[in-house]
Amino acid sequence: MSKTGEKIVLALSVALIVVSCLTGGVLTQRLLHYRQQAAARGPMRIFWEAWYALEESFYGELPSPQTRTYGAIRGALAQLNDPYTIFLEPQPTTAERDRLAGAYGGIGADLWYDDSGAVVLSPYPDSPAATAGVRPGDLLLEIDHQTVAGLTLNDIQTRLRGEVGSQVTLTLSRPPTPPFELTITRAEIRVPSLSYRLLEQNPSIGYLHITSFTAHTAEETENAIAALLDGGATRLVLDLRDNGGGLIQPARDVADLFLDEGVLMFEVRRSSPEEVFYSRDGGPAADLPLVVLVNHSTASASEIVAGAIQARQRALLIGEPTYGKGSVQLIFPLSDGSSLHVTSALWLLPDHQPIAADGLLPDIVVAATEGQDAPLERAIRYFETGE
Amino acid sequence: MKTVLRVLLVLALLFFTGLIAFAAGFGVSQLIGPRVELSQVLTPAIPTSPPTTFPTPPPPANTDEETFQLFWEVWEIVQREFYGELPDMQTVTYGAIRGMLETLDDEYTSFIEADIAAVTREDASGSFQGIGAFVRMRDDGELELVSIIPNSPAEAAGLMSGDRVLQVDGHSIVGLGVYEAIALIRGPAGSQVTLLIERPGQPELFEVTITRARIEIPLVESEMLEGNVAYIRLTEFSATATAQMESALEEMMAQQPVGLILDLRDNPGGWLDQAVSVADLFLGEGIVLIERGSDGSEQVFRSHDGQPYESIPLVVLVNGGSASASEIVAGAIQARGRGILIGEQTFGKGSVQRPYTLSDGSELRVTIARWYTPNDVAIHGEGLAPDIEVVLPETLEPGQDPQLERAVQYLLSGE
Repeated sequence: MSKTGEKIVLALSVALIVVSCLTGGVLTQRLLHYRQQAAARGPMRIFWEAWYALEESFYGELPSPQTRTYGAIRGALAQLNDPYTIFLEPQPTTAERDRLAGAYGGIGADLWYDDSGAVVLSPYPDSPAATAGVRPGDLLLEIDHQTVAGLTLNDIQTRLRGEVGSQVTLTLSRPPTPPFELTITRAEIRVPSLSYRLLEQNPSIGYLHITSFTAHTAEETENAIAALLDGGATRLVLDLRDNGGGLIQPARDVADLFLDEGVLMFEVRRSSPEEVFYSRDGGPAADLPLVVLVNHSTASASEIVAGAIQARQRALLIGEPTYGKGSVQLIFPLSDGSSLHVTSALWLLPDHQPIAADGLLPDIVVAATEGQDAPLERAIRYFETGE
Repeated sequence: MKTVLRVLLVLALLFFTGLIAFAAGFGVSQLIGPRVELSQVLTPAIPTSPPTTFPTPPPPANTDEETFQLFWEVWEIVQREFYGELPDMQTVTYGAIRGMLETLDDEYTSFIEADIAAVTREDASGSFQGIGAFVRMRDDGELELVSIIPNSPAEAAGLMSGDRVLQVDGHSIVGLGVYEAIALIRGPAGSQVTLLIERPGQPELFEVTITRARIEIPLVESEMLEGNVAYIRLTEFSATATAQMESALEEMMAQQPVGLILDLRDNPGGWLDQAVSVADLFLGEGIVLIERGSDGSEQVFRSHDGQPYESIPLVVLVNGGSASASEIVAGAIQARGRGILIGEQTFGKGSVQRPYTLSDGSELRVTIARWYTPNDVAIHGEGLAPDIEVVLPETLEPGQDPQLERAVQYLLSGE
């Protein structure tokens, strides 16, 4: 064979090898791609059969593909048998985030019905409502010249809210003054997550009621403790009744205020090692005599705070057994603006036990009563008598 | 030595070139990868009945796939993050289908899992291959024989109503779903099945081995009542309903009855074609029902002259359990003035479903149309009002049936 022939053969072989390897690469990639698709979608094959059967012949108007997809997601999540793993469509998600972030565009006032059914306003300090001249006890008659009669408090709250910078006109009554109007510019409002006071029955007892754990709760609690101590409190009632939880980080920070160094809680996840969270030394209320009030609506992050305090024998719990929810949901924003709450972990108390399904059992069980606050009275008696 | 080196070098070069080419092919293919191939896992649904042909589903709109990506976004998060046991993918798929159906706001478009679908599909054919007993699942998880079909293998084997089946071919069925249990007991005609039976009042369990047979489900009960009134009850519009009606009618007509009572109480319906042909037994030329799709398409189902039962005085007994196909028959007889309805307001299901058998044997029933009586009246959600209303008292003595008595009275007295 001549040298040239050899070269041609060599060149052809190289070309052949290159081409076959290239083809091999393409085929391998496609094969892997199909495998991947089949693994993901194969089991869903009959879902698509159902999808197209509906498109082909359903009587009446089919909901949009988006609505059907939302339905499929809900249906799939229902198979997890976990009431806390939920899918939220875009609308409620925003409201939810507002609530957890502790901020929204509003006038900054609490409202409730008085005995006659009138709507009473109570502005937060330094809020747009307070600055515009709303005083605690003013009665709300109209919002933007529309009567509030017949509306629920929730409806009224919704109407008072709006974009930051927008305006709302309120018609108020402050007897004996005739009804008058105030125009208020909405601003971002921090919803206070707690209230506090020195108890009228015994001003040496500071009372602190945390209603939910939002982004600002730890800071607010620290300020509240400082204010109560300044006012002369020598012991504290921490009221976690009707506190359904919220964000865990602020809850841990709050617990830390009342605890010395030690284990605060454990978090067990599916795919990562157990995580331990500690409280640090020197919490500002770590040495104050303390009682924690709980009830059936004390849940989740609240139970972590109450449970850590109880398990570490820092203080007694008084009230009713708590709700019993020791699982953690992570919130995942999804690409279309909806969101997913997934139960992602289990919380364990410092004694390494999960929060029982029937909740934390108070050290002193006192049921709520009509007309008076029996658990609080019991807490005061505990401080005064030591038992 | 030098040659060996050269050969090695060339080989190494070739290998290296090949590797680069492979990687390039892999990479390029990934970049321009055949995204549309997703459609290949989608196959047309296979219809069962009515045996019309359906167009192959259109190729999936990419927008559907894109919209549905959200599902996978959710499910990937759940697989990664969920603390707890994950259900298998079949369960998830079934859940997704049910969730999708929830959004339709139509209770009759429904999904039936494979084991249940297999049993109901066989039943709807009018016969099944098994031992010939009706069963129910007791609260304690034991399968009880409720009644034994006459002349069946179960009867020949000496089984009695009240007996409980604890094992099938040596496997315990206690605690299984009723359809799962039925699926185990059924099997091809000629094959054998061994049951472990517990009989109340008898301390010893005992085994029986039974040869399965094809068993026609009795759908019709008939008898001649006092005053020479013929009574015929149809329990379901399965595939053999018309044939069974015909043979019972033939037998009774030989005795020249003065009137006929057709009892459709608690008859939940069945096949549309059976409703039309049962109605046709009693009706001359005319409309039985009008079916309309949401696109305005209309199909008229007619009855024809030439049956020997078209003029005998007729009363149809109905109640709140008379639904669907029962309402078609009762509605046509009432609307065309062929007979009167006695009893209570009917159920009010005026829609038609098409069953799709999905590739894993489960079934999707899709509402495809509404139907209207010959007078063009929709009964959906309303039901048919009886011409003579007879409401049953709260408690009935055994053997008492005021609705039937009223029907006999009507046929004998004309009012």
